[in-house]
Amino acid sequence: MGWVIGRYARGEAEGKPKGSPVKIMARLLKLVWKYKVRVIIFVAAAAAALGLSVIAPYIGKRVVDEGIVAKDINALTYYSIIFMVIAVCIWALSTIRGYSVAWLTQKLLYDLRSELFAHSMGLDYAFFSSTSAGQVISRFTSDVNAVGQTATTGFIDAVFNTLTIVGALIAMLSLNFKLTLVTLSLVPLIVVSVIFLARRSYRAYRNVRAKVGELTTNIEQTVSGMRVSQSFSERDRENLRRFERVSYETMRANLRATLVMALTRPVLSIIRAATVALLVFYGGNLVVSGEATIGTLIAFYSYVEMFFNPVITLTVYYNMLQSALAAAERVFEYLEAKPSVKEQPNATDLEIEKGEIIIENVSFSYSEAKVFENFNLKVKPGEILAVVGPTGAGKTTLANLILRLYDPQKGCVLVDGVDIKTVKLRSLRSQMALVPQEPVLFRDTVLENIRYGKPEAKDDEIRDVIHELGLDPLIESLPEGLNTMVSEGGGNLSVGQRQLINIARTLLRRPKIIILDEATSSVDPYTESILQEALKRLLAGRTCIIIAHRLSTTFLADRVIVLDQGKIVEEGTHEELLRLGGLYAKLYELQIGKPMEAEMLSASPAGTA
Amino acid sequence: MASVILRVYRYMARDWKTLTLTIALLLTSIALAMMIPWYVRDLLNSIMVFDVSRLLPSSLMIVILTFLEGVVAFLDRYLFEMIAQKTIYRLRLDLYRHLHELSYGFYDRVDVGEIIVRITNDMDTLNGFISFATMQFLNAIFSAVIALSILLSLNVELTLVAATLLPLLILIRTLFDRKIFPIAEKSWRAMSQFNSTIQEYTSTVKILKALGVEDVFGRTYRSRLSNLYDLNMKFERYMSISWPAVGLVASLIQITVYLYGGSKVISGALSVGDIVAFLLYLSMLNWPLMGIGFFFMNYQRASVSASKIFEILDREPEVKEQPNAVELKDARGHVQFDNVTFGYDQNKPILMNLSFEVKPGEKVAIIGPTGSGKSTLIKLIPRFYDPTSGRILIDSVDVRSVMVKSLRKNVGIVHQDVMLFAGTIKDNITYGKSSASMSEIIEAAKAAGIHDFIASLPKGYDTDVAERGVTLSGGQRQRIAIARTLILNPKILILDDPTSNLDAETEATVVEALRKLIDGRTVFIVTQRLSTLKLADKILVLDNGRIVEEGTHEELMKMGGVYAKLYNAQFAHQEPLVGSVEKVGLGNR
Ligand SMILES: Nc1ncnc2c1ncn2[C@@H]1O[C@H](COP(=O)(O)OP(=O)(O)OP(=O)(O)O)[C@@H](O)[C@H]1O
Ligand SMILES: Nc1ncnc2c1ncn2[C@@H]1O[C@H](COP(=O)(O)OP(=O)(O)OP(=O)(O)O)[C@@H](O)[C@H]1O
Ligand SMILES: [Mg+2]
Ligand SMILES: [Mg+2]
Repeated sequence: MGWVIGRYARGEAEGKPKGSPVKIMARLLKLVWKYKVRVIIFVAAAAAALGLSVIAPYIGKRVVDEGIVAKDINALTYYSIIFMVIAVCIWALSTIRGYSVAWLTQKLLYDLRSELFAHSMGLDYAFFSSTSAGQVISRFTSDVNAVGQTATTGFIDAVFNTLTIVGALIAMLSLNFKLTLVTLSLVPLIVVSVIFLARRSYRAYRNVRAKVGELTTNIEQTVSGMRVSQSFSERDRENLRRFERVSYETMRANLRATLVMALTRPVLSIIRAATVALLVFYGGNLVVSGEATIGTLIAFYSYVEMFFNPVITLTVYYNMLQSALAAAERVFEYLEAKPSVKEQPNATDLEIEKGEIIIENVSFSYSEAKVFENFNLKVKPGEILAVVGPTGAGKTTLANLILRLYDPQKGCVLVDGVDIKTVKLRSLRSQMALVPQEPVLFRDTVLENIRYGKPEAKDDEIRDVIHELGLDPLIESLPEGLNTMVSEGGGNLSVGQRQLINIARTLLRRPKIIILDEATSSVDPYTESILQEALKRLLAGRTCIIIAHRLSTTFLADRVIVLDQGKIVEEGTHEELLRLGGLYAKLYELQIGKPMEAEMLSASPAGTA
Repeated sequence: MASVILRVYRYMARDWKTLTLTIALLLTSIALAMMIPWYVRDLLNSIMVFDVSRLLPSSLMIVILTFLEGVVAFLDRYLFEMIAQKTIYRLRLDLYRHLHELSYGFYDRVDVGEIIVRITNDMDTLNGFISFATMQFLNAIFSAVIALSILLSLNVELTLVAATLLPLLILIRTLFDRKIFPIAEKSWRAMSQFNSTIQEYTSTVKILKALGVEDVFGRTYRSRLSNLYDLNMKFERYMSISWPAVGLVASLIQITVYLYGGSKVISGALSVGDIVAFLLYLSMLNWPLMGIGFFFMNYQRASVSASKIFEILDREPEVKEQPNAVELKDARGHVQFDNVTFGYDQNKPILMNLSFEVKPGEKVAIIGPTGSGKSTLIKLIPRFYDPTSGRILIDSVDVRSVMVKSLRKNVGIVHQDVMLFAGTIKDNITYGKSSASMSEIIEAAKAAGIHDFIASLPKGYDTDVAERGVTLSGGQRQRIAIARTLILNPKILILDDPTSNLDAETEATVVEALRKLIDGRTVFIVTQRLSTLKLADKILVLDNGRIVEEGTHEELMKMGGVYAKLYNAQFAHQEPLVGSVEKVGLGNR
């Protein structure tokens, strides 16, 4: 986990690239090669368009020679029509070519994004709690985009350009060996500078990608935390200062990358000019001494052009490709992240029948500090267990372990006698349900939010559970009832309402094992008491763990355990614990007052009003 | 639509000096590039006539010219990119700054993805557009002007005939634009939706995993991804037709000249040499046409991006500082609600005709059922929203007539939903006061009852906290949020359910510490916990958006209304529950 925090949170492109650019490229090619047919159409269209573009001037020449110069109106019309047909064909072929490129690119983006998400589904909760959202988002969006921008077009153009270069070489060799050597004498210079530039630009682009990740992280955090930062009158300056820094660094990184890119052209065109000069000078002398003909020299001159234009295009493209590779590196790095909670290959389905939970000798820590050490707990089938205790005692952690959001370092969790590590994750979790301490809401209607508890549930089933829980008034109070759209994070609902919706979601499922983690901490006591009445019915026959600081919440429980610093310090029924006079009694007294007093109060006239 | 791009160029024009230089360089490089072929021809000619003496100077000239052209083009390209980058930098900062001006109302409706897209994708699109596409465009325009003037000097009539086809380009563009703009716009929406979806996944992943319903979200993801893919494909389809069309028009021009010029030659009105020369130069127009086409190809997306960016920049904050606002210096802490009505939706009031007064130093508890409007009420005090009608006065001054910053400086608020940030614990506590000293930090942490825990950590205050504070327990997060506000020492302190995630013992400690600290301050405290109520001098009971009861615990208990009902519900378990509470007069509109 540590490496994740380190690498992702800072998002810096430090250290050695993971995997060589060549490997990254091979992986990308493989992705593109899936669409062989399209690639072939694309290549064919491109080749045909190229061929026609070569023929077009030739037809143009005949228009002039045979039509205009010969003053032959028929030939003029005839060749003009041919010219027109060719132009239309080029247009059509270019359209096909352009469309195929776009198609391939979009497919590549689609595939990468599907793969990224499929991979994300397999990553565990620990990964996401230690990875910044912005870093994940930037991989799905800007990095994938950057991969697509050059990957597809370039690969195929590269093939054409290489072919052209080879063609020019063969032609030159067949004409004059000496001159060819002279012409190629500066090629090592090209190779060196291309490699030099490419390496720089790869580095520069890695930085750009990293900065974009940082920028995304910054803006994501700013917007999600805007309500908080506006509550602190001075904060905007600090936010701005940070954003300014990231933006500035992004600009610098971009400019660096541009610098390298912009250098490519002049460097190569100077080498070309030098080659031309060399060729003409040396070749001129050869012509004078009779070793070569003028025709050869002139032909060589055009071959140098034919040789250099694709070389320049290739180099420019190769540099741009570095941007795609740097982005692909980040995408692949994400795809290689491994979850620590994994399904075993021979995992089985588990049918939870009894709902018994046994925690055996479990030791667990998130980082250094131990949360549990040799922890043992048994929850009987159908039992309602309340877990109380000071904050940070490990209550939420306990829930996390039962749901296998984390794996203990030592010991095991058994459900119905089966080690949950050997069970398929889906099978395990689909028979349990959790109300998390922080209510979670989706940007969807209230109805759909609740349906997440049981995706196949009918609307009526959802209405029933709402009714059973006594939440009809809540739904009525929303502007459009169940069809009210919930905004990001439930921002348009009161915190209590968010919790109630989370409870409804969980109970819709009616699972064998239910964990309520501070499910009603922000709900008013009256609503809570109604809810509890309903829960009492709904929980019958199910194993339930209720974590709560509000001790009134625990009255449903058959048994209460008091957790302190990862240890069970007290255990028993509510009454037993009160009589015991330990931590629980103290907590109870602090919160609700002396039991006696409380009883008196509830019996007072006010209580019956 | 064109106007938004012009606005971007106006941003760019702030660098007008560099811009002028860049254009000058561009012209120079075009000129140099045109000189080179001339020397090449010279060189070839000298070989033809076996004049070796002219080989060396000509070759040298070519090398020198190429070198110069390379350097100038390089400088030009780089400077252009620099201007573009600076423009984007400024635009980004302006956008970011403006985001801080926008009020809660905006953030209630916006999706994070929409903003991320603007700061990243849209800026990238614009960057590419104003650097590369614009440079190509200028280059093309200059070259086109040169080519056209050469053509004009050769033959006015033929040039005019050729030019008659140029409007065809405009026609194609307008036709496609009408199709493409809506698609570009939709595809922008899809992209921002897509961003939001991933953001949503990372923030809801715990429940998705816990319930094992990742694939339900996966369906949402896939449908958004497909939507994005479909729209982009549609966009590309139009693009791939319209872009080569430029080449087609160029060929059409050529044919027109063939036919028109050819018939003139045949009829003897034109010499063969004229038309051949004309045709040679006509091809000089091809490249600039392509350049202009390239520009317009990028134009659609760029203008959508620009319009989205300016859409935010032009948005007026709902809570706006009046031009003649005064500074609220040290407030005494007198707070008055005068007939305040408020609703997030104007037609659906959440708070109705609220009137009450809180004296300086008074501590008020606000209680009421879930969704009764407690959080809403307190959010009006620091002016996160403005009331629909009525006034809120601090020290007898309407909050709308004071400077927003000075108001918020006097009001500290602990929100009900805790949000921490990535950084160290210390960073989080000093979030609103970066200048705080270590002793202030510790004092605040102690008051919030979190110091001992922090001190027990190996790295103490320098312990890293993950985004949203997920590496801390609920109670730890909540107390850090309390410390974060306490360190500001505000005159008016608002605590929204600050102990909901604390156990009774911790709560008692916090309440005790707070009691000392809040002496002399005006305090609003929203709570569902009786024990926290102990801090209050007075209790306001909110129900259905109205204050239904007001008084001390004893008074309210005697009254036997909503308060008594809420209070007693806590002990409901000590008597047979059924029938002990009725639904009369309670919450839940
Ligand atoms: N993801 C995490 N990474 C590192 N440490 C963690 C993480 N989650 C919790 N902790 C630490 O583990 C300990 C137990 O946390 P846990 O959330 O289980 O407490 P809790 O009993 O639920 O407390 P609360 O009542 O405040 O919710 C705490 O000290 C907490 O700081
Ligand atoms: N940003 C918002 N946009 C629209 N409606 C909102 C918004 N915030 C709250 N509401 C609605 O306004 C009403 C009052 O909400 P508020 O948060 O003030 O309740 P509350 O009394 O604080 O409840 P709780 O005890 O649950 O925190 C609720 O019905 C809620 O759905
Ligand atoms: Mg917890
Ligand atoms: Mg609230």
